[in-house]
Amino acid sequence: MFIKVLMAALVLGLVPGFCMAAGDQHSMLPVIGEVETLTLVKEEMHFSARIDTGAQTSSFSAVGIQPFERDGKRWIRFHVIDPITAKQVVLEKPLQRMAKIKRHGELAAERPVVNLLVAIGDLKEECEFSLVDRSDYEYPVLVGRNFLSGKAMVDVSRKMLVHPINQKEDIQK
Amino acid sequence: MKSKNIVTFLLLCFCVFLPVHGYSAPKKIIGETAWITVSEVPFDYLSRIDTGARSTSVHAVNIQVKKGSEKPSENIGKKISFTSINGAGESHKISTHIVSVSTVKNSQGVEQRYVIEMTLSWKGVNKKIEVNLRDRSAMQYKMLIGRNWLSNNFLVDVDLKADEKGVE
Repeated sequence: MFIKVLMAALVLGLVPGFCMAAGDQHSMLPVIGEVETLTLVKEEMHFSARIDTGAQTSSFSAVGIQPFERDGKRWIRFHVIDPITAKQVVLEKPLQRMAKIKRHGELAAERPVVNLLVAIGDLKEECEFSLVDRSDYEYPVLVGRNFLSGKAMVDVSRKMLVHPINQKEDIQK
Repeated sequence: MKSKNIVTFLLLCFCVFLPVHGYSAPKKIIGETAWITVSEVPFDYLSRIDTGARSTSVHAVNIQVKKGSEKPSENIGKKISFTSINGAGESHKISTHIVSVSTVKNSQGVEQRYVIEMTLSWKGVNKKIEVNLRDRSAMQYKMLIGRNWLSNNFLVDVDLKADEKGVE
């Protein structure tokens, strides 16, 4: 008899807990921290990224930003600096659009926007990034709402929650 | 006998429940914008929830420091008054004291701002935090919620947003 009561208690004790968790986490998105490692998938480079719900469009630090034309289309050539090797890597991507950046008391600045295939852990996405020299800032990458939407929730009391995936190993598997 | 069984049963339920689920309140999910209540002000602010900002900032105009010095850092501890206005144009004069001066670096450059204490609430979570004063007239959101308020209590889901008319 006692065993039966104990079993029932165990089951009923657990059930409300699961319901509570499910009720609160109504959107079952994975949680990432205030800072995460972002991987440029094709280039296999890793960067520290500030996760910024205040930014609509993500941005990526770049220098030597040059527009050029390829097959009648507008492209952008730019250099990103690998934080580990400190080497500059040249990337060429089609220009998606020019983003107007609102600046308090200044003329609006324009930045080129390109698509980059990036990953935070196993959250992989081709996502728009505006290019700007962020070398004066702590983090070379800002991950904004255009990446986060439908993908992850942010917990600012934690950081580096996901491990960067070695995409090359991933492909070979 | 039966009632004894029921009591044992309920006690066991409780004993199982507590250790499994812990005592800390679960983190609340907040959207990219939210209506934040401020104890010191008789209205709410439609606020931008910004994990990219370390500190929280509120719209303040007519900032006056009593017996103020030219150097902001010499005014810490002094009485300060200012008028805060929300997005709907409701305004309120607040008198308090300066707890610190913060140097804020952003895309517009570096500036010094007075810091006061305010109690900000959302869905039953009340937190007294440091808030810096800034003229946010040109900005869409008159309050910017930074990590000093969000930390430990909230998860931010950018697919959720406040009802701009004021009902959540």
